[in-house]
Amino acid sequence: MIRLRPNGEKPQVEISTHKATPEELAEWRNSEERWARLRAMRPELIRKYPDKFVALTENGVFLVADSATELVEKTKEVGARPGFSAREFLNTKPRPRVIL
Amino acid sequence: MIAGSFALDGSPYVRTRVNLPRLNVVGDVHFLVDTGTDATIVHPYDAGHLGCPFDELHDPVDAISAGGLHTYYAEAAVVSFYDGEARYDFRITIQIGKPHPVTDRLESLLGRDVLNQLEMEYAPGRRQLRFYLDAER
Repeated sequence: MIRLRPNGEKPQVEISTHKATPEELAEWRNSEERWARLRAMRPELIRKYPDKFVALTENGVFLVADSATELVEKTKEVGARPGFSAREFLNTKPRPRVIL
Repeated sequence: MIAGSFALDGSPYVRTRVNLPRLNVVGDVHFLVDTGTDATIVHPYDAGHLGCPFDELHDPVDAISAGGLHTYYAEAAVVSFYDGEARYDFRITIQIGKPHPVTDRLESLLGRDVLNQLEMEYAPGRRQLRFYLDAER
């Protein structure tokens, strides 16, 4: 739970719908596949790399790092865009669901 | 229809593409669906992956949570969802967290600013999470 608008101010949201291009949809599906693969690998990865940061890059490289910053750097080193990698923090400790 | 998913621990997520036009930043963010949060928040882990230049965030917003007061930075954003044919763009003011020991490893949160524009079908027992724009149903 996070409150940013204690005065009840309404957020401004503008919604628009666009027909996606075939290239855009193909790229989106590839991205979904990467996330699904990484998610499926999670039980195995968390055993092998507890408390590490892992990513599956858009060019298919699997990376392991000790920090998010290191993961970003490694992703750039293999010629991929960090924002388009599937990524996970393999946390072995219980995380608070009520944040902060 | 926009499809979400449940993680192995049962947490509900939805994948989006986030674009921060002023900062020329774009990338994918898997949001934790959080009806308890006022506004959509990108925490430092995801913001760092997007290549967000933290030094260029200048619009602080105080947020209150169970853990106390924390500062986020407001930024104009387009959060896009895809179904099999269309892209749905939500132009919102997103809240971005700068690196901080407390928030560094937290998931990004899809808050009520976006969720209130959608109808959500939430059936964790069937592992089914779907979102519809009001006009769709």
